[in-house]
Amino acid sequence: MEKFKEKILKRTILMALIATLLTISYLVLFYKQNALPQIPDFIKGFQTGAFIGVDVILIRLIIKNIRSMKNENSLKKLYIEENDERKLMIMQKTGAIGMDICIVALAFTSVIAGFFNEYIFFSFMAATILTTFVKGFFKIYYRFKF
Amino acid sequence: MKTRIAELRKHHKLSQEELALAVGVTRQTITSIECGKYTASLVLAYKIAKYFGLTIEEVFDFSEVEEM
Repeated sequence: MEKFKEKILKRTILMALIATLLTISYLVLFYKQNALPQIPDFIKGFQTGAFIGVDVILIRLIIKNIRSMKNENSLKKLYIEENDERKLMIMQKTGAIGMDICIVALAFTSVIAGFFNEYIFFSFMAATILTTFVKGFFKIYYRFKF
Repeated sequence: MKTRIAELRKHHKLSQEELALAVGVTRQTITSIECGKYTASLVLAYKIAKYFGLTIEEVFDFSEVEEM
């Protein structure tokens, strides 16, 4: 359990770093927005919402991890939660099936977009190729690993 | 896969949560195994059987596998 405790500590530090960097970058961009190209208000609203959402999630996880590290029972529960074999299987299946659906949907959308706009077609095509490449890379990697 | 986990739990007056904590899985995993929706891994099957002081074959019903 000590190894897991160390893992959680490292993860918590990383989360705190990400939250801090995110806050700093958002604040810098927010106060320097006059020097940047003007964007519609709804995009600014989305950016603020996304920033607050990610930061709230990170802070919640940091608090949860700190609490777990102080209590042996909570730490064991967290360990079980993370290493539960059924949960891992669900994650694997979700990832594999989800990625296949994404590839098919992206390829289909790129074909449809090709009738309307060249740039959108190439954007979707690039996304399809990248997703397929990532899936292929991990497939080969795990074939060698197991 | 059919199992005797629910029966053994009742016999030992054990909740799903207690068994789950003892064998290192979540309560939902024990529920799924008891309902036959999820088949435990060899390691988990061993842990459950060992917890009740039985062999894997005494806890898990392999008749469906043998028919295949």
